Amino acid sequence: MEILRTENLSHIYSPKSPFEHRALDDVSLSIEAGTLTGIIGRTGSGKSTLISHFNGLLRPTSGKVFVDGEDIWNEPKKIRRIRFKVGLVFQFPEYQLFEDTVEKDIAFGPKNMGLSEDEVALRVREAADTVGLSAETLKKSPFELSGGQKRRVAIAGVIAMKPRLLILDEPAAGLDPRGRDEIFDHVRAYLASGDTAAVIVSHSMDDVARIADRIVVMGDGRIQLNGTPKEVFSNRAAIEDAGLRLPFVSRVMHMLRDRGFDADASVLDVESAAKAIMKLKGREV
Amino acid sequence: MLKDITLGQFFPGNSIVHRIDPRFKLILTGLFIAIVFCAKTFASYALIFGLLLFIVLNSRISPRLIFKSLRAILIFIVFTAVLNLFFTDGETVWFQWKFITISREGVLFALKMVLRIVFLIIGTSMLTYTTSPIMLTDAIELLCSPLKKLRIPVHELAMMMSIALRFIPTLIEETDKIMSAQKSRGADFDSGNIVRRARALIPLLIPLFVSAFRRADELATAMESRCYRGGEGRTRYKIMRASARDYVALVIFAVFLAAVIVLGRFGI
Amino acid sequence: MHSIIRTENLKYSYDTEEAGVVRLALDDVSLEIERGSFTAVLGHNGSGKSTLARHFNGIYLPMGGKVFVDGLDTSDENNIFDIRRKVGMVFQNPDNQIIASLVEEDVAFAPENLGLAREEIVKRVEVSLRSVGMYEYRDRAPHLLSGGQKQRVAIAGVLAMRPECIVLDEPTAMLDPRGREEVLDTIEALRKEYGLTIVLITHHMSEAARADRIVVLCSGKIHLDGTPEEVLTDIEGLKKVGLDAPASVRLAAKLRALGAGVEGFPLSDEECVEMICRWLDSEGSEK
Repeated sequence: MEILRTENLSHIYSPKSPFEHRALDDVSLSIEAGTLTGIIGRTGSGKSTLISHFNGLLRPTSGKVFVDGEDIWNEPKKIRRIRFKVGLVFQFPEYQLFEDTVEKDIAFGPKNMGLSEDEVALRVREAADTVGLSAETLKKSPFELSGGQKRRVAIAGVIAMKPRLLILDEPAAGLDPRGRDEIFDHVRAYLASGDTAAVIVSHSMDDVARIADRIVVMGDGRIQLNGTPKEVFSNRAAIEDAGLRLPFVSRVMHMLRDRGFDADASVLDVESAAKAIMKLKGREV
Repeated sequence: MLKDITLGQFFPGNSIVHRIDPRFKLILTGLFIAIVFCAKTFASYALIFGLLLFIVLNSRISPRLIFKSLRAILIFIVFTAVLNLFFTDGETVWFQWKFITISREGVLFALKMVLRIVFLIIGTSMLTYTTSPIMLTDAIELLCSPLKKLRIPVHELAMMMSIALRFIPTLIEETDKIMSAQKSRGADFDSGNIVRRARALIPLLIPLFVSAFRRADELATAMESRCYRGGEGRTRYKIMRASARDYVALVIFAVFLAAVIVLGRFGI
Repeated sequence: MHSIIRTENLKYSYDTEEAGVVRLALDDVSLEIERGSFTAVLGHNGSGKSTLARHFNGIYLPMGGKVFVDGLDTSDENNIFDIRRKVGMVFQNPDNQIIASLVEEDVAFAPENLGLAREEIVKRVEVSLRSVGMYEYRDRAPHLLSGGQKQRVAIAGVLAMRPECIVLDEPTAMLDPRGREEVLDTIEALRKEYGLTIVLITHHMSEAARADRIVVLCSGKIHLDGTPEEVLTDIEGLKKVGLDAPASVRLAAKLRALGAGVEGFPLSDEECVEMICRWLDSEGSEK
């Protein structure tokens, strides 16, 4: 089932001025329920502009965005509705916290939806569960938490709106490996219900390679590649053209191919890379 | 858009206006303000307009930018215009309804007030547009150094102003980001009555303050790490040397001031 | 020759006594940083690595133990100015350490504070900006630069003090991969050209691998201390403190576990491919 679709989406900043800049150029993509899509690209590749269209923060210069089959700009006055269906978590979201308790902060989104008090309370508990915040933490002030915990609170604040599509911009920025893995686990947990989807925007190929079902590579405002991680990482030339670096195992496998070995360049993790290398020596594992 | 606010920002350049000694620029700005306040007649306003046009054109600052900065305070300008338009008593009444009177004098007065504000904004903006905050700080500090004898912390005040100016663009960008983030959580900044709108600002203002305090704290640490310990014993990277050009500018402004005063006397 | 920074049984806590339990952010840390060395301090968030860094130029003062910079005790207030001149500090957020609205004026900030003569300041601003490759940007506004460029300006601002040591507290945490490379390359170049002592606080394995010594902190204590070859290949030791060994090291270990005769622990892509090829080309190859 399709949750979001863009059709020939283009966006031009400051049109008809010396600062005119085409940030998005004819982007068509589709996001299916139950999937985690990784959007990768360099700074300025258009990935942030793209996700700001998904929840209607930006309006397309041309082209359309559909959520659940409905053109989100059909009724511009009701655009807020879309923000509850498509939840967007910005980079360093901990800087948006403002309430005096974690509980209230997470409740901000659900309250804006006009839900009943009971429903709000229920959603806060569920969202806190999804990201692993204890009942004790809910009563604390968000400002006394550690950086990693603050980020989880901010993510819970969006999850509590139960968006059909959850988008996270660089959710692991500044976190250590453990913190990063935890965040990714929470996103996976949110997808478990099956009728939601998630998008993670990242610079890091290594991160996206491990968790995404599909990968969209952006470059110069356009989609350069769109496919499964295996498909995308087999295409070294296109990745490098987009100014990106392959994940470690793909780099090694491609280098082995350069040396004349028939290495499988579509492997994604150390384990399967090791197995593929054993195979080169004629040893099945 | 918030990004259009250019008030107090600095645009590096190498024009004649940029190169005027910052101390003179400060005095010239003071003179300019005096000129605007002394101007009574439309002839004087035309003179000021000419002067301003000359400065703007020579500063190589895009006029577009200046219009943008005016747009940011449009509400304030309109408010002033309306207030003066409706509440100025005059002899030649053109329109009257209840307590609202529009008279010929009112229209003229409103027009003058608007021009005055626009001139002041553009004139003072030219100072900050073409002078780096640090230079401005140094200039204020030098000009006000006699006040140090009165134990007024001139250096500290000047440094504070310079840092405030430096952080305007950063905080504007941050406001934009937080606004987008809260909108994404369904915050509604654009509808409802004044009370509702003011309440809607809380999720924007609190994170902004928290972040400003954090930035201030980090900046203080960074400054101390770079051996900052107040104004004492500090030397300066850029020295200010007044040139003939600066004195010429001073004379021109003085002549303008005299001109508007004379014009006002004769009611031309 | 004594080391540039020395800590002796350093203790520090953010908790006050009244709060009851006092958790130590730094617990009995004794460490020496050699002159001209490049040391990476590795650890997960909350391990105490930034707290440690902030003791190196007297931003924080020890609650127990001592810190000496070039033989000067940081807890003696009279030494602070000299200490800060010797040990420059670069922070995580480039926006919050740039003071001026013009690149060159920012770089001039420290020399101005030092009370140097104008000619000397001019010289230092130019040399510092050139050594980080930002001289062409001297008359730009910092807020319009990219993250990596801003961070290089921040480094130049510290260089202008002519310090003997630069401590960088997670300087790449807020940068994209390109900015990260810019900053790391700049650090390496400074070390090669000027023989500066570098202390890099990070949680990235790949950044730590560039150093010649790695100190791993966890819960305020030093857990591992050695060359990158020693520390980064200690898969179990790293795991204990919540860090992953670099993928190349893990790949080598995995291959050996599967019975492959690969030798050593490679730290770079090239070394890794070289290692695999050597084994693949060895006797018994069925290529």
